[in-house]
Amino acid sequence: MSFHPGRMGMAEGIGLTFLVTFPRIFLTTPAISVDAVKNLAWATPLIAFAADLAVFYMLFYAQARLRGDLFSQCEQCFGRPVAWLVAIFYAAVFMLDATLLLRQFAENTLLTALPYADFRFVIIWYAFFVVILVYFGIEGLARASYLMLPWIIFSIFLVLALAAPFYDPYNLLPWQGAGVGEAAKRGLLLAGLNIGGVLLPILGPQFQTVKTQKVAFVLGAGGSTVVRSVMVAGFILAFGVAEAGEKTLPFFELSRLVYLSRYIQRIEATFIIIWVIVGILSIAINIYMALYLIARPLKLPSLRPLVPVMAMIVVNMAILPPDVMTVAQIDSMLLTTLFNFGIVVVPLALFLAVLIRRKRRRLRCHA
Amino acid sequence: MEETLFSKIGVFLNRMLVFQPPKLPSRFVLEEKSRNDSPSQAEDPLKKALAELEALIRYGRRLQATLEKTRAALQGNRWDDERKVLRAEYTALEKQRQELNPLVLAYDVQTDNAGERPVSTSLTENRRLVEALYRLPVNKDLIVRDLTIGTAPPLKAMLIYLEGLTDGKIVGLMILQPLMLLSQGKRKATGDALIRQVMEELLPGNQVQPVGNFQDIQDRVNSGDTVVFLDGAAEALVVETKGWEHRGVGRPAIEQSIRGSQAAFAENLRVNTGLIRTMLRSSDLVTEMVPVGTRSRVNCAIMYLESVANADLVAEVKRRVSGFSTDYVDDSGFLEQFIEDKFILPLPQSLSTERPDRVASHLSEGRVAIITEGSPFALVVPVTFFTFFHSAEDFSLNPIAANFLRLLRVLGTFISIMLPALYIAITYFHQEALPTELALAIAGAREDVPFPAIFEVIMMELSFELIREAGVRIPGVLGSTIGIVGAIILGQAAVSAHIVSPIIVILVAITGLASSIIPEYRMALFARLSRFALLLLATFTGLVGLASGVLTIVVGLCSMKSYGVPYMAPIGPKVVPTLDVVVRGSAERRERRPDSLNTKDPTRQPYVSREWARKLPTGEEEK
Repeated sequence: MSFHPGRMGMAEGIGLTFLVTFPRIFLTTPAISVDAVKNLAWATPLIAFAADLAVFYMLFYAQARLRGDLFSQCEQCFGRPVAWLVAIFYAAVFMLDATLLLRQFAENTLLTALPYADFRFVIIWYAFFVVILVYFGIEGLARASYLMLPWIIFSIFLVLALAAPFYDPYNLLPWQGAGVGEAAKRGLLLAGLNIGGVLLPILGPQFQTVKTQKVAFVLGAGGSTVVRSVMVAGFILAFGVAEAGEKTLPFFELSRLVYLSRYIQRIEATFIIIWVIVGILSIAINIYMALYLIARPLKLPSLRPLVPVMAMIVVNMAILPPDVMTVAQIDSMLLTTLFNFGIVVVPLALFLAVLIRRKRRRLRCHA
Repeated sequence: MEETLFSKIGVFLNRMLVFQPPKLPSRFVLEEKSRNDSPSQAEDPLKKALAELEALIRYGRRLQATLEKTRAALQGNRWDDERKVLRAEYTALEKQRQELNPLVLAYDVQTDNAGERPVSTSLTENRRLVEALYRLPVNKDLIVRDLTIGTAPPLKAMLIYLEGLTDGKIVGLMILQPLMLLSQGKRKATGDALIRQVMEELLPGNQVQPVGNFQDIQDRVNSGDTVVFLDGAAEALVVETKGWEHRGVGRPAIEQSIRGSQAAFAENLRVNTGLIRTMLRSSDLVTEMVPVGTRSRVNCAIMYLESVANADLVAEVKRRVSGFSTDYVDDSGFLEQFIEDKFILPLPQSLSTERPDRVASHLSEGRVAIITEGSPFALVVPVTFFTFFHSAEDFSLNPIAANFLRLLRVLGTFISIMLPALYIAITYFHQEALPTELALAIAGAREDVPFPAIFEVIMMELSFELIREAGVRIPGVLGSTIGIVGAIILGQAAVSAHIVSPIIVILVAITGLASSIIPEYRMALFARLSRFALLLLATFTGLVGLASGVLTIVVGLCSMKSYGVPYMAPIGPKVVPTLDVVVRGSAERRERRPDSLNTKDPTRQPYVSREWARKLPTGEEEK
């Protein structure tokens, strides 16, 4: 396995983007949104995606006019030092994302599945499987993500459908919640949720064309956004704003509600399989991307020797915060700052650079 | 010391009282020897020089004998009669002299592998080499027959073949009789013309070929052919005389089917390739032979449809089959391990089948078949994960019925891999997922059992595996009887003894049955191994462990390739799907060949294959 990831297509792009932008629906993020925006919380993922879509279209515009992947495009526009900085920045973003997801999924595992286990054991358990998956390479991860996609979406809609008897449509009213402006602000702040979509331009040529990347982003991140939005609406419908805002793990709580008969009840355990798969896959993709962004500028012949090292660093970082609430706070803070910076600044800078280059070239031709 | 009465008594008592072990020869012990203890002839310069000299002496003696014969002919006034014979003799001598050129001779002697040497014009030299190669006279299998061909002038010849591999009648009727009794014509003196004359005029065998070196000669003799050496010719003639005893075409023992062909491969390579040809009667069905193995050269047939199979795929298969070195290949399963890619999961990368109809069907899709001599199984490459859940009769059945069976197999695979792990995960960590009555029933059944559930499951699973393996190894009817009786008695006894709960017996029985539903043995074996791995993971972390294990398998499957084709095609990567992945469409919907094979001709049949359905019935047309 060299740092060259292989050949992928639209399906792989959709799978990767969906998986890397989706996992926080199983965590506390939806509850925080409900707490902040109230009844209109379901709109925040849509607003965030709309903002991201605008930025990504600028990025894709720039990509269509430059050669290679994001690193080489930055190299062409801003020079090698800046390209290195961009690579290191995104590597840090993916690494932090992996760390935060690892800790939060481990804590959730303790809460829902293994109450007597030590969280470090669970973190190491996750890390072990992540190492194996990263070792298989991004092609395998991408294809597995695409393969898992229908099962994940089907399971989520199944839970939503089975919890229907508990829905109260009046819970969505008043529809403005804390106000449309507040929802828009929160939505824009959560734009960083889709930072994972950057993997498409980073892996660039592996997806053959810019059009493939575009469609993969729209369907992958867009699909993830729609499912997240529907799920948040489901939480509000089932629990009401006051209760939904206090739930630590809204999806788990929603699946706990299910009671259709004596034989279809308390099915939350079976859905552990789905969120464990989503968690491990997204952590593995994040770690792979972080490693790729290290290997790419250094032109390393192989990523594999770095996998256990990176996993160890991530594990150690994940163990650092004292409790899960601190992790949730760090997560919210990074989402609204660092991740937003990553999703807005680099694509925008690249877009402007391409525009300026084109204008200069036109002037030169005119002269 | 002088013998006294006391010393004699002492010796006597000693003999009487002390145990004297019988004098036996020392036991044989296979001692380790260093390689230098037995230097090969090629490594010893003295022996090489000696071999060179011996060759020269033999030439000298032959020359002397011919000269004496010439002198006798001249003195006895028989020159006119003997002239032709002597001329032929001198021509042969001249050729042998050329071979004894110091450079050529030195090269021949220096060659470590005697098999690489060319055929000599001297029968004596050839005979010596054959004797060296086949370890004569110790080895009794090789028959060396000297004869004189009755041409004018007569020609000395020698034929060699392996007893037991050749058909004696063919040797007699197709070689000895025509050469010794029916060859009355005039013979050509020179080597090439002589070879052509014998091949075209004297040997009536259906396959006769000239060969120039001893490697080819060994390959052909070891395959049951007969080789004829002619005095004065630098080539030998190979006559096809294969005729060893072999098992005939029988019914499939492992891949049985209700419908479809009932023929199975045998051990004879040519019978197997012929069986495929009888089912796929296409003139562009190509069979290439590649010998494999350095010590035992076994023929390996590579079959493909030239107008369909991807040329790169065929080249890659040939590259792999001819690109490994081992001394002996005895089975297609052994060959497979040399030519497949290394991967961490023990999944088959080729389809191993005993059914010629299945091979023919895959060849028509653009795959390549590899058949090893002596093996009743053919390998088909490349394959995808879904191929292993198809059976030979799927397309002989109605699509709905076939799809039901296919889905049953997929369900069986899931049960086989996951059911015990799911049971352990839920009973250990997630009891709330069970309905109360079921949870109470399980608890009640386990009340008297003193072991943890994992111990019960592993014990019963291992017992089942033991019974299964014993059932295969114990010969004949006894095997299956012991399998069934063993399972019933063991299960019943274990429950009665309160070692396992009845629910575990049910669980293991269902799992065992489910794993038997997978048509491919190696895939079923992978399912069995995965089951144990998932069981252990579920024991430690319940459904979290199960999910981790399943995900690892899925990502592994998605990373894997079979001869360059992604293992999970056409869904991972997503390519143009055909209606023959998990479920299959009706026969008229199989318009395209699998996209992942990148065949030369992707179209299998037109979009409207049932043309008759668009035409009016015969009676209606007339109206």
